[in-house]
Amino acid sequence: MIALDEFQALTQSIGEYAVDLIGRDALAGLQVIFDRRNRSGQVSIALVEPSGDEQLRVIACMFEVEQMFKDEAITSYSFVDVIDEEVDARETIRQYSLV
Amino acid sequence: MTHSGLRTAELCLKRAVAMKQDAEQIEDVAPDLAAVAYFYAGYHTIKAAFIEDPIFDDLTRLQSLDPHLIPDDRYVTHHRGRLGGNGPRKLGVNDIVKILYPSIATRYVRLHMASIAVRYESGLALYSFADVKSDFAELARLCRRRAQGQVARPARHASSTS
Repeated sequence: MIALDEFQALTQSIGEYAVDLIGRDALAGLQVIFDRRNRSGQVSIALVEPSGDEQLRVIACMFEVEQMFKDEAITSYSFVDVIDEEVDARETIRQYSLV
Repeated sequence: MTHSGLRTAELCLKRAVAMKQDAEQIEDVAPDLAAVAYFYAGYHTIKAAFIEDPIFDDLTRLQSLDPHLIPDDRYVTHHRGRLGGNGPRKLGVNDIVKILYPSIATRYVRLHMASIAVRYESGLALYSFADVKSDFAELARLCRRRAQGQVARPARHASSTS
Protein backbone atom coordinates (compact mmCIF):
# COMPACT_ATOMS: atom_id res chain seq x y z
CA MET A 1 0.00 0.00 0.00
CA ILE A 2 1.32 3.45 -0.91
CA ALA A 3 0.89 6.19 1.66
CA LEU A 4 -0.49 9.40 0.17
CA ASP A 5 0.97 12.68 1.32
CA GLU A 6 -1.23 15.73 1.77
CA PHE A 7 -0.51 17.09 -1.69
CA GLN A 8 -0.98 13.81 -3.47
CA ALA A 9 -4.34 13.45 -1.75
CA LEU A 10 -5.29 16.98 -2.83
CA THR A 11 -4.17 16.29 -6.40
CA GLN A 12 -6.20 13.11 -6.48
CA SER A 13 -9.24 14.87 -5.05
CA ILE A 14 -9.08 17.60 -7.69
CA GLY A 15 -8.82 15.01 -10.45
CA GLU A 16 -11.60 12.78 -9.16
CA TYR A 17 -13.96 15.70 -8.54
CA ALA A 18 -13.33 17.03 -12.05
CA VAL A 19 -13.99 13.60 -13.56
CA ASP A 20 -17.20 13.25 -11.56
CA LEU A 21 -18.49 16.65 -12.68
CA ILE A 22 -17.50 16.37 -16.32
CA GLY A 23 -18.54 12.74 -16.60
CA ARG A 24 -16.24 9.80 -17.24
CA ASP A 25 -17.90 9.02 -20.57
CA ALA A 26 -17.21 12.52 -21.87
CA LEU A 27 -13.48 12.21 -21.21
CA ALA A 28 -10.78 10.66 -23.32
CA GLY A 29 -8.45 11.54 -20.47
CA LEU A 30 -7.77 13.99 -17.67
CA GLN A 31 -4.57 14.82 -15.86
CA VAL A 32 -3.75 17.03 -12.89
CA ILE A 33 -0.21 18.26 -12.37
CA PHE A 34 0.04 19.90 -8.97
CA ASP A 35 3.05 21.89 -7.86
CA ARG A 36 3.09 22.21 -4.11
CA ARG A 37 5.55 25.14 -4.18
CA ASN A 38 2.89 27.55 -5.41
CA ARG A 39 -0.14 25.32 -4.81
CA SER A 40 -1.02 25.44 -8.49
CA GLY A 41 -2.88 22.65 -10.20
CA GLN A 42 -2.87 22.42 -14.00
CA VAL A 43 -5.69 20.24 -15.30
CA SER A 44 -5.34 18.90 -18.84
CA ILE A 45 -8.64 17.76 -20.32
CA ALA A 46 -9.04 15.54 -23.38
CA LEU A 47 -12.66 15.40 -24.53
CA VAL A 48 -14.33 12.60 -26.46
CA GLU A 49 -16.48 15.15 -28.29
CA PRO A 50 -14.60 18.46 -28.31
CA SER A 51 -17.36 20.65 -29.72
CA GLY A 52 -17.73 24.31 -28.77
CA ASP A 53 -20.81 23.66 -26.63
CA GLU A 54 -19.07 20.81 -24.87
CA GLN A 55 -16.08 23.02 -24.11
CA LEU A 56 -18.36 25.60 -22.48
CA ARG A 57 -20.08 22.89 -20.43
CA VAL A 58 -16.73 21.55 -19.23
CA ILE A 59 -15.42 25.02 -18.38
CA ALA A 60 -18.53 25.52 -16.22
CA CYS A 61 -17.70 22.24 -14.48
CA MET A 62 -14.16 23.48 -13.87
CA PHE A 63 -15.56 26.61 -12.23
CA GLU A 64 -17.09 24.26 -9.66
CA VAL A 65 -13.76 22.48 -9.21
CA GLU A 66 -12.05 25.83 -8.63
CA GLN A 67 -14.70 26.80 -6.13
CA MET A 68 -14.42 23.52 -4.24
CA PHE A 69 -10.65 23.81 -3.81
CA LYS A 70 -10.37 27.62 -3.68
CA ASP A 71 -8.63 27.71 -0.31
CA GLU A 72 -6.14 24.99 -1.14
CA ALA A 73 -5.14 25.41 -4.77
CA ILE A 74 -5.01 27.74 -7.72
CA THR A 75 -6.46 25.68 -10.53
CA SER A 76 -6.01 26.28 -14.23
CA TYR A 77 -7.03 24.07 -17.10
CA SER A 78 -6.59 23.50 -20.79
CA PHE A 79 -7.98 21.28 -23.49
CA VAL A 80 -5.55 18.80 -25.01
CA ASP A 81 -5.88 16.15 -27.69
CA VAL A 82 -4.07 13.45 -25.70
CA ILE A 83 -2.85 13.11 -22.15
CA ASP A 84 0.93 13.03 -21.80
CA GLU A 85 1.68 9.90 -19.81
CA GLU A 86 5.31 10.80 -19.16
CA VAL A 87 5.81 11.26 -15.42
CA ASP A 88 7.24 14.53 -14.13
CA ALA A 89 9.71 13.38 -11.52
CA ARG A 90 10.32 16.67 -9.72
CA GLU A 91 10.00 16.28 -5.98
CA THR A 92 7.48 19.12 -5.67
CA ILE A 93 5.13 17.71 -8.31
CA ARG A 94 2.14 15.48 -7.70
CA GLN A 95 0.03 13.93 -10.45
CA TYR A 96 -3.33 12.39 -11.11
CA SER A 97 -4.03 10.80 -14.47
CA LEU A 98 -7.07 9.26 -16.06
CA VAL A 99 -6.23 7.88 -19.48
CA MET B 1 9.13 44.89 -14.20
CA THR B 2 5.60 45.37 -13.06
CA HIS B 3 2.78 47.33 -14.66
CA SER B 4 -0.38 48.92 -13.40
CA GLY B 5 -2.47 48.66 -16.55
CA LEU B 6 -4.69 51.30 -18.11
CA ARG B 7 -6.49 53.29 -15.43
CA THR B 8 -9.55 54.65 -17.21
CA ALA B 9 -12.41 52.96 -19.02
CA GLU B 10 -11.87 55.24 -22.00
CA LEU B 11 -8.25 54.13 -22.38
CA CYS B 12 -9.24 50.48 -21.98
CA LEU B 13 -11.95 50.78 -24.63
CA LYS B 14 -9.59 52.54 -27.05
CA ARG B 15 -7.15 49.66 -26.61
CA ALA B 16 -9.97 47.16 -27.07
CA VAL B 17 -11.06 48.80 -30.32
CA ALA B 18 -7.47 48.86 -31.61
CA MET B 19 -7.03 45.18 -30.76
CA LYS B 20 -10.29 44.23 -32.47
CA GLN B 21 -9.35 46.18 -35.58
CA ASP B 22 -5.96 44.46 -35.67
CA ALA B 23 -7.67 41.10 -35.27
CA GLU B 24 -10.04 41.81 -38.15
CA GLN B 25 -7.16 42.85 -40.40
CA ILE B 26 -5.16 39.66 -39.89
CA GLU B 27 -7.81 37.02 -39.27
CA ASP B 28 -7.88 35.73 -42.85
CA VAL B 29 -4.13 35.18 -43.01
CA ALA B 30 -3.20 34.55 -39.38
CA PRO B 31 -6.20 33.33 -37.38
CA ASP B 32 -4.05 32.16 -34.47
CA LEU B 33 -2.60 35.61 -33.90
CA ALA B 34 -6.01 37.14 -34.51
CA ALA B 35 -7.35 34.96 -31.68
CA VAL B 36 -4.79 36.49 -29.31
CA ALA B 37 -5.81 39.98 -30.45
CA TYR B 38 -9.49 39.11 -29.91
CA PHE B 39 -8.66 37.90 -26.41
CA TYR B 40 -6.91 41.18 -25.56
CA ALA B 41 -9.79 43.11 -27.10
CA GLY B 42 -12.01 41.17 -24.70
CA TYR B 43 -9.63 41.68 -21.77
CA HIS B 44 -9.63 45.46 -22.22
CA THR B 45 -13.39 45.50 -22.73
CA ILE B 46 -13.82 43.67 -19.43
CA LYS B 47 -11.30 45.94 -17.71
CA ALA B 48 -13.33 48.95 -18.86
CA ALA B 49 -16.46 47.32 -17.43
CA PHE B 50 -14.72 46.78 -14.06
CA ILE B 51 -13.56 50.39 -13.90
CA GLU B 52 -17.06 51.69 -14.65
CA ASP B 53 -18.87 49.23 -12.41
CA PRO B 54 -20.36 51.06 -9.39
CA ILE B 55 -20.27 47.85 -7.34
CA PHE B 56 -16.62 48.64 -6.56
CA ASP B 57 -17.73 51.84 -4.78
CA ASP B 58 -19.83 49.92 -2.27
CA LEU B 59 -17.72 47.65 -0.08
CA THR B 60 -20.71 46.03 1.61
CA ARG B 61 -22.36 45.05 -1.65
CA LEU B 62 -19.03 44.07 -3.14
CA GLN B 63 -18.18 41.69 -0.33
CA SER B 64 -21.69 40.29 -0.26
CA LEU B 65 -20.87 38.90 -3.71
CA ASP B 66 -17.52 37.50 -2.59
CA PRO B 67 -15.66 38.22 0.66
CA HIS B 68 -12.34 38.33 -1.19
CA LEU B 69 -13.41 41.18 -3.49
CA ILE B 70 -11.87 44.56 -2.66
CA PRO B 71 -12.36 47.99 -4.29
CA ASP B 72 -8.86 47.91 -5.84
CA ASP B 73 -9.88 44.82 -7.83
CA ARG B 74 -11.47 47.14 -10.40
CA TYR B 75 -7.88 47.76 -11.55
CA VAL B 76 -6.67 44.17 -11.36
CA THR B 77 -4.33 43.21 -14.21
CA HIS B 78 -3.37 39.56 -13.67
CA HIS B 79 -5.60 36.94 -15.21
CA ARG B 80 -5.68 34.34 -12.49
CA GLY B 81 -6.04 34.46 -8.75
CA ARG B 82 -3.25 33.79 -6.29
CA LEU B 83 -3.14 32.24 -2.88
CA GLY B 84 -1.59 34.85 -0.61
CA GLY B 85 0.43 32.69 1.75
CA ASN B 86 -0.79 33.83 5.16
CA GLY B 87 -2.61 36.79 3.61
CA PRO B 88 -5.94 36.89 1.84
CA ARG B 89 -6.49 35.22 -1.49
CA LYS B 90 -6.07 37.62 -4.41
CA LEU B 91 -8.56 37.44 -7.25
CA GLY B 92 -7.64 37.65 -10.93
CA VAL B 93 -9.64 39.03 -13.86
CA ASN B 94 -11.04 35.57 -14.63
CA ASP B 95 -12.27 35.16 -11.05
CA ILE B 96 -13.93 38.57 -11.02
CA VAL B 97 -15.67 37.96 -14.34
CA LYS B 98 -17.14 34.79 -12.82
CA ILE B 99 -18.44 36.72 -9.82
CA LEU B 100 -19.71 39.90 -11.49
CA TYR B 101 -20.67 38.76 -14.99
CA PRO B 102 -21.44 35.03 -14.71
CA SER B 103 -23.46 34.90 -17.93
CA ILE B 104 -20.34 35.40 -20.05
CA ALA B 105 -17.75 33.81 -17.75
CA THR B 106 -17.35 30.52 -19.62
CA ARG B 107 -16.91 32.37 -22.91
CA TYR B 108 -14.38 34.81 -21.42
CA VAL B 109 -12.36 31.97 -19.90
CA ARG B 110 -12.42 30.02 -23.18
CA LEU B 111 -11.15 33.09 -24.99
CA HIS B 112 -8.30 33.25 -22.48
CA MET B 113 -7.61 29.52 -22.92
CA ALA B 114 -7.49 29.92 -26.70
CA SER B 115 -4.97 32.75 -26.41
CA ILE B 116 -2.81 30.62 -24.10
CA ALA B 117 -2.98 27.76 -26.60
CA VAL B 118 -1.64 30.09 -29.29
CA ARG B 119 1.02 31.80 -27.18
CA TYR B 120 2.39 28.86 -25.21
CA GLU B 121 1.11 25.64 -26.73
CA SER B 122 0.52 24.30 -30.22
CA GLY B 123 -1.97 26.85 -31.51
CA LEU B 124 -5.71 26.98 -31.99
CA ALA B 125 -6.06 23.34 -33.03
CA LEU B 126 -8.51 22.48 -30.25
CA TYR B 127 -10.39 25.78 -30.38
CA SER B 128 -12.62 26.98 -33.17
CA PHE B 129 -11.79 30.42 -34.55
CA ALA B 130 -15.55 30.93 -35.03
CA ASP B 131 -15.96 30.32 -31.29
CA VAL B 132 -13.19 32.83 -30.54
CA LYS B 133 -15.05 35.48 -32.51
CA SER B 134 -18.43 34.65 -31.02
CA ASP B 135 -16.99 34.58 -27.49
CA PHE B 136 -15.59 38.06 -28.00
CA ALA B 137 -18.82 39.30 -29.60
CA GLU B 138 -20.94 37.98 -26.71
CA LEU B 139 -18.84 39.55 -24.00
CA ALA B 140 -18.64 42.85 -25.89
CA ARG B 141 -22.44 42.78 -26.29
CA LEU B 142 -22.95 42.17 -22.57
CA CYS B 143 -20.52 44.95 -21.61
CA ARG B 144 -22.32 47.37 -23.96
CA ARG B 145 -25.67 46.46 -22.44
CA ARG B 146 -24.28 46.87 -18.93
CA ALA B 147 -22.89 50.30 -19.83
CA GLN B 148 -26.35 51.24 -21.10
CA GLY B 149 -27.94 50.02 -17.85
CA GLN B 150 -29.81 47.22 -19.55
CA VAL B 151 -28.48 44.37 -17.42
CA ALA B 152 -29.48 43.86 -13.81
CA ARG B 153 -26.92 42.40 -11.47
CA PRO B 154 -27.79 39.10 -9.80
CA ALA B 155 -28.63 39.70 -6.13
CA ARG B 156 -25.89 37.35 -5.06
CA HIS B 157 -23.76 34.97 -7.08
CA ALA B 158 -24.96 31.52 -6.09
CA SER B 159 -21.48 29.99 -5.84
CA SER B 160 -19.09 32.88 -5.35
CA THR B 161 -15.82 31.96 -6.97
CA SER B 162 -12.36 32.85 -5.84
